[in-house]
Amino acid sequence: MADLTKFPEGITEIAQYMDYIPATEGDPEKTMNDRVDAFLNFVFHAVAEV
Amino acid sequence: MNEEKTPKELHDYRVKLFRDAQNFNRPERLPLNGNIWSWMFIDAGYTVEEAVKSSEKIQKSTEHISKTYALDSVGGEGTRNATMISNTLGGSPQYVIKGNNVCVTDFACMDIDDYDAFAENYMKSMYEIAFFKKYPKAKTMTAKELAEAAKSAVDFTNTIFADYSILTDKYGTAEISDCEWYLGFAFDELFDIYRGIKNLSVDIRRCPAKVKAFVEAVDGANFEAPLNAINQSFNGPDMNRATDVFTSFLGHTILSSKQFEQYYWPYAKKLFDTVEKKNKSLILVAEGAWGRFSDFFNDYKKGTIGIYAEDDDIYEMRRKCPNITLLGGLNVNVMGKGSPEECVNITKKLYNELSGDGGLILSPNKMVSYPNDMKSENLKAVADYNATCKINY
Repeated sequence: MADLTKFPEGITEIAQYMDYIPATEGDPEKTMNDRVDAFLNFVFHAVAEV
Repeated sequence: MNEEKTPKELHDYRVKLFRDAQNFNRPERLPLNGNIWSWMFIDAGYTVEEAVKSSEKIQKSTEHISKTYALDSVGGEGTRNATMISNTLGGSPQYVIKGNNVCVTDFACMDIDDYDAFAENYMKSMYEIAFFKKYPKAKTMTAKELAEAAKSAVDFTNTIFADYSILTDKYGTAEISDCEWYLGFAFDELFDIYRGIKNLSVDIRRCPAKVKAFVEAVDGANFEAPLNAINQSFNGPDMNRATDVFTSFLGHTILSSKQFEQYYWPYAKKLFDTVEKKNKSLILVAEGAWGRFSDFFNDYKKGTIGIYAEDDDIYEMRRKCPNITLLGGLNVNVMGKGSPEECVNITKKLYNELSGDGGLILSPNKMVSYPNDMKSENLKAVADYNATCKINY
């Protein structure tokens, strides 16, 4: 199991559980990238609080 | 008047008001931007504390403001203070919101020794350093829990879009922040997010080269795609929106002109030059006073840059910057403590002395956030008066 505090492996692990971000059929790489981007967006909002 | 127009017609009319004002093109009347932020919750009957935790209350507040006042732009979509996100991580160490009191502490989630790491890999440092320093509880959360917490950012974004939809589609406002491009400056990230005011004030004296390296790396990464997109977009303004680009200066308040030139100007100039070249318009929220930097802006053609006049005297700024569109004039000290007559009188004075051929957007000079920033009857008096005005050229 990945260390969740490490970038990018921790985020890749977390992204596996973000199934509320719609999957792109037949393109698991894009699905994963969309979920990683969504998580980084969350991190930025949380750090910046804007 | 407004009652006769559909929301779409009203929206298009208001967009034209903003565009004509910004382009010095003789607007029919002055456009009015509410610059209404947390005050909308109080005016809607909530406390700030209860409203910021609820998308429903935020949207009811947005709707209340749109229904009650004849604003051409509300100016804030109700989502200031992203506590819905920080609450999923154990709460914010930076924002303390009790009742209607919002206390912002000068918090640092990056140490002075972390500059090199941020300049080398911003995303990695934002996550490994800043995120876990700000939210230590996140270190104890599972992958599934963190994934569920991240959904709060999706909900937050959906709330913003729903608020814009209420404002524009239902009430026909032309929101000045609802534009194609929003850009923030790296120095402001240090000032507002990573180092805080006190630490950054020391850093620009102790390690100015490291601050500069951070700014170059982060601005370079953040501005590349938007500048390319603006360059590749059509020439001229997007007449579906009140402006094209929205940006802000926050940390300039601790800088001299020479320091401003180092930390902001390289990418601010690139942005302003691009906007001017494409015949588009930009609105800049420059907190506090920026008059000492006005020489930087004076060569741009009219219509390119609009700047809030918060702490600078708007009449003096009109003389110093004849090419800049100014937003402001409705001083929150008067709007919050004066009578409706006094507020209408300052509006009349702005019409008489500053309306010219344009270049003025009426607005409270500061973000209307706290109970004493505004009286409801004063906003209503100014908005109703303004809606009936017509400038004779």
